[in-house]
Amino acid sequence: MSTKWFGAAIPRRQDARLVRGEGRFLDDIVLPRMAHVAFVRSLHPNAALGAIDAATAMQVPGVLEVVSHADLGEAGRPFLQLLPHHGLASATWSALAPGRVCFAGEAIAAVAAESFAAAQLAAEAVAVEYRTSAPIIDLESAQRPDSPLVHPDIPRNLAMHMVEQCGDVEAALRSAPHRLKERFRITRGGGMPLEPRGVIADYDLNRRELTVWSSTQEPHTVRNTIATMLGLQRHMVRVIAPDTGGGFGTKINVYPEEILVPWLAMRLGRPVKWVETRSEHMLSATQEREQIHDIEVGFDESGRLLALKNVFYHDMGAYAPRGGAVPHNTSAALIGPYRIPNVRSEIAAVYTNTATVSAYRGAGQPQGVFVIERAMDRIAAHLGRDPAEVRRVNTILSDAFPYDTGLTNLLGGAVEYESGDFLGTLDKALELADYAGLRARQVEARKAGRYFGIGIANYVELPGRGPWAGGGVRVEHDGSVPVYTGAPSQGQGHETTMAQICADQLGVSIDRIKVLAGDTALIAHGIGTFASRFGVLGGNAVRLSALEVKEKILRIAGEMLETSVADLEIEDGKVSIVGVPDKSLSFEAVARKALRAAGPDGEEPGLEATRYFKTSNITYSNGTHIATVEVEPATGQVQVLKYFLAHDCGRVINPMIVEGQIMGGIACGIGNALLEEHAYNSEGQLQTGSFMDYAMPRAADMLEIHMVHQETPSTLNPLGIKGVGEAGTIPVPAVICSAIEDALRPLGVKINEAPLPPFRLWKLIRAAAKAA
Amino acid sequence: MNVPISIKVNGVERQAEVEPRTLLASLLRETLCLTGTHIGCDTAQCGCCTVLVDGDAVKSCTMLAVQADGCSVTTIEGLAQGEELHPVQKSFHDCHALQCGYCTPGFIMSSVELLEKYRDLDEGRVRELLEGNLCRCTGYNNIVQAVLSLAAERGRT
Repeated sequence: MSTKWFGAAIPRRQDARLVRGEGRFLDDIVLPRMAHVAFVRSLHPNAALGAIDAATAMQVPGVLEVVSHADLGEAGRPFLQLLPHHGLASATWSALAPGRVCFAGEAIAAVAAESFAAAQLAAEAVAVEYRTSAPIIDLESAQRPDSPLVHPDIPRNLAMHMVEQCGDVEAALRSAPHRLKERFRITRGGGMPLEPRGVIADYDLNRRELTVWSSTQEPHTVRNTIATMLGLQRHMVRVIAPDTGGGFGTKINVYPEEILVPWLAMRLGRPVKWVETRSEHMLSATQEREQIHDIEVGFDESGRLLALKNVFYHDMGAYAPRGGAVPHNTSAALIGPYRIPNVRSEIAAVYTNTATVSAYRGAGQPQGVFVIERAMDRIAAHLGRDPAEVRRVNTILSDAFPYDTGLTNLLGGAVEYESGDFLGTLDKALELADYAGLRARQVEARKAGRYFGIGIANYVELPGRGPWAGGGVRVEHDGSVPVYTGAPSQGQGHETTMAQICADQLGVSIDRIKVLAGDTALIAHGIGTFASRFGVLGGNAVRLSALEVKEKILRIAGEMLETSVADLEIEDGKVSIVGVPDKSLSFEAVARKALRAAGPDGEEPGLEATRYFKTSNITYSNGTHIATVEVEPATGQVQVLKYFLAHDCGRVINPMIVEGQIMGGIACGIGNALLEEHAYNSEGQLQTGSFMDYAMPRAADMLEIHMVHQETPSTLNPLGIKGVGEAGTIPVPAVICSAIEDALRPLGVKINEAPLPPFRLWKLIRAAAKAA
Repeated sequence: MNVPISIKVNGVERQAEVEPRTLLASLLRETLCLTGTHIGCDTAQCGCCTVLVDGDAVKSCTMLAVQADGCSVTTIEGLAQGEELHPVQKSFHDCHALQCGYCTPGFIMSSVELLEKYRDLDEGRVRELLEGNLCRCTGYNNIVQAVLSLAAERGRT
């Protein structure tokens, strides 16, 4: 197989329509007789619901229906638990709040009306009787016996308690020459796709078929959940994810609205549309990152880690639609690229009366990396050693792969790194940054009274999550090649990368290929786009299908040319006899033959295959990031100066897209490190309900980025791909905080938390000055 | 009570009767079916709905349709000449300055305005001038590059 397309920086094929404003996003879809929905959302974070009075609301002109949980019947039961984790005290949401609310913003009632304006007006007129209780907001005190309960049947709000260990941590700590204890904290933010969520449903009463459009990362899961909740057969439900304006994990879960809107469409007998406002998104879409870690490390004179003990609290928010996936990821990401013989990681995940926590780009991994990388810096400072060198002595060497870390991943398998060159990315990043030069510059800066810091962080990403993904390939009678997959794109560029893979495997120009995705009618099964998984699994599924189609093309062409398959070759959509280039057949000719010649004794008609790529494990990407910052101690303002990174995501399908993923990921990480925070007050009210309060990174917050690629193929799939979607984000809070602490070393400021907006850093600087 | 208005949209005179509260963004999207103008927030922060009103980049969610009466509005759909992309659209494609494409129309309209209005554009200035638009996918650098490459081209001619 030639690799003409795989590995090339092919310009994105989906751009042509997107730059013209011809994308078709959910809110662009208009159906005849469409009704509009607005939700009545809870004002209180913890309350039992009394009477819901819709009499006034029903009088608003244009209102069709006001429904609450009591109207829903079976459709109102709690959702099934996805990823039921061992030991999880499950709490899932319902299409509308069932008698009580667990966070401010939870949907209590829905209003359908002729226009969105009428629905909104009527929603404001619905009177809800609340019997409020004190909420529990603080993560740490949620477990106390006297804490208010989020779910009355879940004692001490404990969603999950889990211990992962290898070796003997206590013994290793006792005998370690040096020990350090630290507490680290990361607060919560959100994925913030620029397109809010939205659902449209249309029920054909005669055919009893339901069609749903949703701005989702997982159309098949949405279909399956709708079928279950509404008592329909899966094949009678079709879910379409149109062009989707970003996901970042926020759109992986099946939300209450994705059941309620189809239910309303069936009840009203007309199409129903709901498009989330940004304010609603802030209140009710999933958020992530809040954790507190208490760690203890034992190490020797060289900085080599002998033991890592970590107990952490994870905030689940109100519900656990995806079980314990996020905290488990944190635990699995904790040791990164390091050899740590004795590890104990204990998770206490608790419910709080806040918006539900679920995966956001990195899904628990940025926290794990933050903890171990802050520890590396502390060990270096404790021993007076260079932080890069302390990382080096701990790094897993290239001859150790496959390397079993002794921990488990969220699928229950071992966290076993299949391949890698971890020192390779460290060395490449140090060289790219001219690390020695930066240290020299720091000496000069300090002499001049400036606070210039250098941060460094390694990471191992857990992408390519199994268990499977599908992709189909067909060669049509006119030689065009549709490729269809079970996972939509929210900007990742599947339309280009999947075409690149197919083009090489099939031996056809990319111009003939059209990638179709985001429609359950295209392919029976799908899991979705998340966890940097689809390039790895979908890419390999497309490869399998392309190879199967290619085999059939060769078989049929062999008969047509009366020659053996072994003597045939395929190039650029033509089959020819090796050495006899003028004796060739076009794909069109073979495809037509495949349809015409199908008979009782021959091949089945057509050139088509749909295969699924299965995997038992996760792939592991890795990299090293280095950042330089300058801090203004009088204000706490951090200026990130330059950013360098070396990363390894296995074989690269399209370097332009990979670089784009990393740069975008870094922006999300800069938000996590310096800007973004979803804050609740002690009454459980969100203080950051709009983009005016929630500080998204803007163009001026981004900086010069230099990167190099290293390619260590994955051994877990034939294409050698590892996945990259979250790599940009995962180490950023760690590297920026490493740099800030380094900059402020003369002032003795310790950085144990992120994000660090100026006021918070200023407080730390002032506290350090007072202590000194 | 509806109000009659007359707006030139992408070079074509359009008449409409609108409720006074109708936002320009709603008029464009719902009445005129120009869905390339997107809505990403409800506080005039994201810039997804940016269009040109008499040459100025305006967040169309902050302007009433009746305020645009008599104005000339250009939306993302009005930039390309048939098959030929506007230079800013082409530059965004060439520089991989978009991923999901939701913020892209707004960024392109803001970029068209700033390239039109400002002669001495350097990186810092472009970053500052794009302050009104949010992007969650690209990390902005390729967007800044898309604008700067056009500014540099202009400098050469």
